[in-house]
Amino acid sequence: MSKKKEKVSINIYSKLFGSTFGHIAFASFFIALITGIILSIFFDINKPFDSISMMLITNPSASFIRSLHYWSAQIFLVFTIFHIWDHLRKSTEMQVKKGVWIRLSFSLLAVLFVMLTGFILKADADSIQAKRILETLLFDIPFIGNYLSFSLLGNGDDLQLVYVHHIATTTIIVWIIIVEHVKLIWPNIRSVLYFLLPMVLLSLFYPAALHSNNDPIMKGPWYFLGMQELFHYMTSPAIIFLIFAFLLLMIVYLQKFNKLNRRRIKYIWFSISIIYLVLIIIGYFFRGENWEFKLPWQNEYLSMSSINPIDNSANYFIEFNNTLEVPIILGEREGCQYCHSNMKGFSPSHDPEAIGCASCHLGNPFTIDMNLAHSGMIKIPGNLGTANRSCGNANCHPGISDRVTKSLMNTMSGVVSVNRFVFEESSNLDQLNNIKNISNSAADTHLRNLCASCHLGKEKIEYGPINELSRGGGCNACHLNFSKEAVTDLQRLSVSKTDSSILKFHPSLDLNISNDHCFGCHSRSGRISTNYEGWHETQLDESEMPNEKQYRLLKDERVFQFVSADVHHQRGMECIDCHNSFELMGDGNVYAHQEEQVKIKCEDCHFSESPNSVGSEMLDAESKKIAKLRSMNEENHKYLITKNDSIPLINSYVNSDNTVYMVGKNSKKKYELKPPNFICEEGKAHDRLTCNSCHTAWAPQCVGCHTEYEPSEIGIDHLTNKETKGNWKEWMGDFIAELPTLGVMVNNLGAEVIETFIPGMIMTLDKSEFDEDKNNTIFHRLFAPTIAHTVSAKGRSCKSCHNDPIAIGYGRGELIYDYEGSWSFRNKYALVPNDNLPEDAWIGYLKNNQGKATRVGARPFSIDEQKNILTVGACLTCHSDSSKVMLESLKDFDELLKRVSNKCVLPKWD
Amino acid sequence: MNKSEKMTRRKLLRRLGAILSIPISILWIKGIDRTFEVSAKIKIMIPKELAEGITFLDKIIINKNGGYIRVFSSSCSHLGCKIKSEIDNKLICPCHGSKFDYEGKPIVGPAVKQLERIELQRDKKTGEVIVYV
Repeated sequence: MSKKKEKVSINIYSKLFGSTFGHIAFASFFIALITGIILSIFFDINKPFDSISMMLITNPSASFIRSLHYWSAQIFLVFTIFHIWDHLRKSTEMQVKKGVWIRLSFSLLAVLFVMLTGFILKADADSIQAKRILETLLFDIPFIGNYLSFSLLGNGDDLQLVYVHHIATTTIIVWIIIVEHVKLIWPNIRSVLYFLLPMVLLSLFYPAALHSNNDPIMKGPWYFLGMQELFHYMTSPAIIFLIFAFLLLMIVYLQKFNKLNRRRIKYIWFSISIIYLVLIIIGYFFRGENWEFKLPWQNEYLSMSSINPIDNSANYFIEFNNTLEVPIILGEREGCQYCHSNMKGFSPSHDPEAIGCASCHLGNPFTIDMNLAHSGMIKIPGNLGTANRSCGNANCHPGISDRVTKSLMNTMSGVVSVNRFVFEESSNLDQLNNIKNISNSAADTHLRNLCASCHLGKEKIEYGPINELSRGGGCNACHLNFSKEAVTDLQRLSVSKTDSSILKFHPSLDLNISNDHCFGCHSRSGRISTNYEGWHETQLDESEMPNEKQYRLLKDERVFQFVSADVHHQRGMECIDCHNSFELMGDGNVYAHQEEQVKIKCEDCHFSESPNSVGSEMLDAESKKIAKLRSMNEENHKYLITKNDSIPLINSYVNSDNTVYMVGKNSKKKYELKPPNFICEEGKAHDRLTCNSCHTAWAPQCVGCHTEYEPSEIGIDHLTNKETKGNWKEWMGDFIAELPTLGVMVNNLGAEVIETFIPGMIMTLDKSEFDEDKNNTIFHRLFAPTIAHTVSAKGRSCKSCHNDPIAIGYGRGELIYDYEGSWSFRNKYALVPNDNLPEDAWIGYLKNNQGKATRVGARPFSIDEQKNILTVGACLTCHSDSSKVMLESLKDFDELLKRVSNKCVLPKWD
Repeated sequence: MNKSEKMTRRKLLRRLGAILSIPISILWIKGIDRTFEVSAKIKIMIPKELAEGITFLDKIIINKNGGYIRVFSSSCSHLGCKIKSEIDNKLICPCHGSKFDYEGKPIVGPAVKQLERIELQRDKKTGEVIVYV
């Protein structure tokens, strides 16, 4: 052919910058070849993943060559496809000899194989999974499948054969095919030079990355993502094979069809390609961990996957000091520790020597360039929004971050539902809610202004220890502990941010969960933390504190007064000595109220029958691990289990003679577990009473609260940390620390029990400023069950329930028994006009159950129950608590009544 | 041989190629078969101290239920990916999302076959509990 004719025929093909697609593909192949040869100097087939990691960390030139090799290969693939499309468009298949066409068609397989082997050779987690999938696919081919797999991919974990096929076999095949159909040995020099430039730019600004083990997403190469999507829907890959083989054969024998059929075949191929392209886009952008469908802006792993535009281009002049180590952590080189070496202060399981820095903090471990390393880093891991990528990733504590997210300490479900009930925005007290999803209604803005920060999902955004003012923080809320040195280091950091090597002490993540961790949130609401230590909140100002012994000032400026501490606190027990990991971190179930999630009961430690116990071999993985870490996994150690859900109490010990004792988890103090006093279990009279109802020394109660909305004030939305126009405010009545009221509720085994209740709330709620259209004031008289955590060793006296109006629910005042058999009640607090009951009452004296509670099935005493209580109360006006008569009355009261002396005056009810 | 059916180099090479392909294929298959036989199975020791429930040990998954231990291959029955995590009492494969229960039975996902059960054996020399994979 004359040169002129050649030029004319070439001009009918599409061109990009003067080169046809075919020439671009060949040029890219050539560049890939040359860079590949250079790359083989730095690549070590005996430790492929490690050699590539070290290239990225220590050798910028090698990394650049690697990126260039990667980009030239991808462009080769893309332009090969464009080249095929271009020629099929022009129907050039008829101008090619039959043998050449057949070889060209089969060479597509070689092209695919050279790309896949290149992907496999980087030997990170993605690549190894890809190799396994390919092996399985090949094995499925009948008769010769396993031979093919073995011949193409080699045996077991060794990548040597893959390497040989990538650098020799397929390279030679592809080059021969190119020469055969183009009649050129070398690529067009213009194409090479023109396209080298964009490849170099891509390599500089979008370097080929490496999959770190911290990334749980398994994705094949981008051109395979469409297949990955299809695989998800196909149980048997054989179908894919057959379709693929069929389509390939259509191309191989394309020349045999007439023009119309060839057109049709090309349309089929084109349509399939478009569909495949869409699948690739879905597979790349819309898939998250464990094959979940995620929108790209919610897909937090997207930034971790292969190609990541870097904020600043890599520092190609970075110096590497080879006296410093780049350690291998969990099978992977970690560049973080090149700069941040020898940090101290960790617990053994979280030491960077064991787990590195990147497994918690993420970032890019394959570099020592500071900006690259810190991109994508989580500064404070442990917040629930990022916990599933750091603490809760598949290699570490999977499942726990999920459990915590579902647990009540994160959802605040009961708080939201009861609050909405009080505001009359919902009639369902048991609705499952999440504080994250609350709206801007009156009830929900009330929570935003006053309560919403106390959930584990609240982000910890400042460094520092957990203290009285802390709220939330995810895993850190309990597990973060700053040593003195770590606090000092932190203070130095805030002064000068220049030299990272000045940071030597890191806070610890451990099991030393002290009461301080609980204190921030639990010194609010039910005030459990402060109650436990014996402190009751006053309405005093700091300046009004009479002394520092009986009064305590909290960091939020509230003043507390000492009443009496829980006996468990007096003995030195901490919150976690009773509360276990399944209660605190959740057990995966979603609960509506705290009494459903809290499983431990007094009776689990204080019992008189023989103990329920399990040996160490029956422990679940979590309890076993915790027992081991706390050195409570001795041989032959038998553990108590809770009645609810059989949770092992790992700090309990059951001796062979069935005596039981307990050890403080942090303190290691030993406590003998005593059975309840005989009086607790005597007779049937007190069968329904919980331990709490007698042994709660006092509960904080407030009377006469008023809540109102001030539209002109600026408030804070504690959920978003933004200011709000308008603020819900509370005015408090009296704060009282006294024996609680008793009422009836249904426990989680379905039985009716008598439990302690406090006003929650008796209040007026003025919504008029919020819903501007009506004069909207709501009145509620509700009591709420409470576990005050003020346990006293000695139970309350008989009269404190039977003769006390507060205990029965009438409110404060005098219950008087005249010796003619009538009880009367004189209230102390004024009557509230809304329902004519005293301000602090639950029910009227001997009235019919008007009282409501914040739990379905919870109620005050019925009239009959009140009468029974007051009948015993009548006896108690003469007989002392410990008299023989009263002790007998526990056994069978009705029988006793038949034997009363004629001096007894029993109440007359009319 | 007459002139029209003259043996050309091409024809000879083609015929030789066709004939030789058979012994070469046989050699190929026999070679691979022998290599399969010779390459040893890996021995994995089952740790004595096992927690209740699931333990992931690279190529195997161990399920301990009271006194009963069951071992499965961690290779997903769909396309062979390594299963190394569980959520909500289900084993989950990261590649295409197949989910299995603790007996290795597929619950969700493209996988339809059970996970391969591996028999427990005793090491003849040391007496420890092992599996071959």
